[in-house]
Amino acid sequence: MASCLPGQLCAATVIVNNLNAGTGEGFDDPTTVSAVAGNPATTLGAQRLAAFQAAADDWGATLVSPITIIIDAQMTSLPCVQNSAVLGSAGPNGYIFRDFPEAPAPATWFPQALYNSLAAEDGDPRRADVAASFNQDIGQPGCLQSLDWSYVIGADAPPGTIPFTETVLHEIGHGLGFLTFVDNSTGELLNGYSDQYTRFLLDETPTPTLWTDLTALERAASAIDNGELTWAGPEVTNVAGFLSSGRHPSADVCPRKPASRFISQSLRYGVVTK
Amino acid sequence: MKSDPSIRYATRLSYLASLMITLAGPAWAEDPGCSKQHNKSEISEDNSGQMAHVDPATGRLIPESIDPPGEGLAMKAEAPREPLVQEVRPNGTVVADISGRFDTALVAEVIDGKLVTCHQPIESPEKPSNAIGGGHGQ
Repeated sequence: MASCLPGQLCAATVIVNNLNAGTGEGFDDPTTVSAVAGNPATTLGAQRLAAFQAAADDWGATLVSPITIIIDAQMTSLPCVQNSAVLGSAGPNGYIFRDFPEAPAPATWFPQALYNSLAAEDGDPRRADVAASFNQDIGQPGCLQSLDWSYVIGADAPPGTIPFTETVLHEIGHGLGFLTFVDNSTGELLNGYSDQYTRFLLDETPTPTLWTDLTALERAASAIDNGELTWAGPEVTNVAGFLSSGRHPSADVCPRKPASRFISQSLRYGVVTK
Repeated sequence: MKSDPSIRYATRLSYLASLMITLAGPAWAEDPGCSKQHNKSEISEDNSGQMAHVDPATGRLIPESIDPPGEGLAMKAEAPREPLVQEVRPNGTVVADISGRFDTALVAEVIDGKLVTCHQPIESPEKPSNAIGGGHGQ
């Protein structure tokens, strides 16, 4: 799923499989609502679904794949309390793949949507490529009640709201493969093999070392080494020049440094409170 | 009136770059404030996620050393993962079923008027029967 270059045919079709269809909940909630900026739907469910589809369309316009990307999507009740909540979750679905003829690197796992793009075949026609769930209770009493979702599309979310489309956009990214398969608690590679995302994780100290060249314990330690874990994928590095901060002296991106988080989070989340 | 294609491209590239940078860290990796401070030699089970503290009044990032978001939530305790069963296809491709194993949850918490977000491990929600193929593990 290479990103688009000027003059390149560039698109992928992303279909949202609405798991709430026919349930009267989530994306099927019939509650009447007023249209909001960029989103003329007048039921809560339709407005939610349009905002989700907008995120899916944005990915579709950005990615290259001959195989339709399918996202199983639902809004449901997820863990929440008065001031804290799971906004949503997403991840790759189905199979992961390695050592296929078109793989750009051997002995490396690829999630399904990425495999489909590279191999130009659907590696698992039976199942969706991404699974995503978002919390339908945000803003309700006892569930992060000082905030609410905003379903605006292509506009700033009002104060006191969390932009749904941007949140979905971010989470879909994880489902497409922006995540590591390395074991959180041990640093072990998945079945002993790296993954396409992890290939580009770089620990900058004491000398720049790719995660794939570290031991499991070193990876686990590197993961919590603030400011020194970077992502050195050449496409990201090449387009990160607009960052005024949040880059390591090596010019690699420091995704977890406050400045870069602020920039990216403000762009993607625009978080505000009521 | 259509916008200049080069501007549209630049806008999209910037947009994608921002998103990639947002995503360009382990979905579960540690951040200051996302869980307690650690030094490089520490290994902890609560090492999840991306987070941000933004002052709602100024929109500026607030340096933080606060408790991680979602502490009041019943989150999944992350255990070492079992190896996946692998299958070799006729052309040599090796596949493994991940069955929703890598879902990451974006958790938000309002702390002192600030919204903090962070990735945490979570059990995948049950999927309805109309999932493509019937949901995880099918």
